[in-house]
Amino acid sequence: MENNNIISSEVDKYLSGKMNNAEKIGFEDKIANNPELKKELDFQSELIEAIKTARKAELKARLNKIPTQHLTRPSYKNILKIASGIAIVGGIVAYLVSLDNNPSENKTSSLDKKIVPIAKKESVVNKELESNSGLEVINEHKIVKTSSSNIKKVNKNQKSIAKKTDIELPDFTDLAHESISNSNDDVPSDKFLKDAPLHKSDVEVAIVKDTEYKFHYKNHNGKLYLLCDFKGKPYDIIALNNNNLKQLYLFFDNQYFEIKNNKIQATPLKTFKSPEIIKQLDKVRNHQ
Amino acid sequence: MTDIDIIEGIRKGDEKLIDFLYKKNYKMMVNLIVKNNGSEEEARDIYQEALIILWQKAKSDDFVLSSKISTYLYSVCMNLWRKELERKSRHTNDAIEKGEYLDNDKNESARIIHECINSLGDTCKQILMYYYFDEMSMNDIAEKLGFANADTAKTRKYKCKQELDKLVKSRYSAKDFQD
Repeated sequence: MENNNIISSEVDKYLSGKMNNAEKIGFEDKIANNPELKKELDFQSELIEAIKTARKAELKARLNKIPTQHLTRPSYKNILKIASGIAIVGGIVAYLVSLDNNPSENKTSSLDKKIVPIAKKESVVNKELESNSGLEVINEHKIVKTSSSNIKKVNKNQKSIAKKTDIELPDFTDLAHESISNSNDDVPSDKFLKDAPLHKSDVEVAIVKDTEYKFHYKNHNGKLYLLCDFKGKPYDIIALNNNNLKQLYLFFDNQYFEIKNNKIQATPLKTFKSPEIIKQLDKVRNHQ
Repeated sequence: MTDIDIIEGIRKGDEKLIDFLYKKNYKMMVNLIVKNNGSEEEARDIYQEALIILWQKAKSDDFVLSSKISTYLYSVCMNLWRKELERKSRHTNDAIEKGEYLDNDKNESARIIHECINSLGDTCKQILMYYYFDEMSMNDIAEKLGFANADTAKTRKYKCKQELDKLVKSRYSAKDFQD
């Protein structure tokens, strides 16, 4: 027993690096000629490794408890994914507002200055809506470049088509009561995504550029106003239905932002942390 | 607090300093890995490893801080991440199959030892960890754990180690018996 203790101490000293060179050489000679000692050395070495691993795990657990700012920056891979347009599907609706057949300059002139136009190419819009009429899920989305400088009322024809696809076009006259922006109305506006509503939704969205707010949103009369300048980049609005409660999210620049439905004042669009929700949203976006 | 103060504190085993450093440099280090194709989880893991390396190295008498701590952490993170990427690219099915049997056996002993360490009393665990991992002197261990002096710490360490040896050996022989 005493002998064992001496061996243990010697091994311990060796493994802790506390032997001088002469001791070390002497000990290594002993190991070479003594299988029992070699066995003990291996055993002790394993123990010490395990103690070190346990301490490392303890330190890591300590660090993991420290609150840190969650990064929402997307990975390069994801950026590529988005850039190639693979991921931009699913979710819900950003819809198009197009030209009216009866432009009433008097009626819309004040709006023109407030809202950046969303869509002009009526034919494109109608074509797409018609081709999908009667479908609950639209399987294709198109990026429609808009260039109009006018906001017009939606005509009846468009409304009826929109109804079929569960997309209701907004009545922008409501915005006349809002003092949202002073936009430069002849600037060509955003690329606009008309996306597939995997979740049937009657959400109405309007984009308002050049407001005093940067990257905000607000709800008004059941419509969602995005007070954002997307600078021509694609974006998407996704709805998640949980227990019949619909929660909207904006996907832009490879990040998700939460949109609450009770904000009547301009509210900054904020990212959020829940990895579970991000996972669900990714799933919806990658659905096709 | 200067970098020199921090290193001095780390040498004495002040764990609050590792918390402080972790928070202070988190964004920069994690971003570094994320920008180099890592996930945030991987980035956090690598950054924690780098901090633990600093924690250990700073204890050594040879350690000289020749740059800012953040620069030091940055280069350790980069090296660790480069190694991790190499490891990932080498990791083929062949390699897994080859090491399978050996690993199973090793894992089993590691599990037994891990359980034995956890069954030690808290003070015993701390002494052994401070001694073997943190490489703290018996004086510092005595101070940290409130022992009368370094000799007491040394005796306690010896007894704790003996206890662990015994525990593991008895589990090993029980295992051999079962086999």
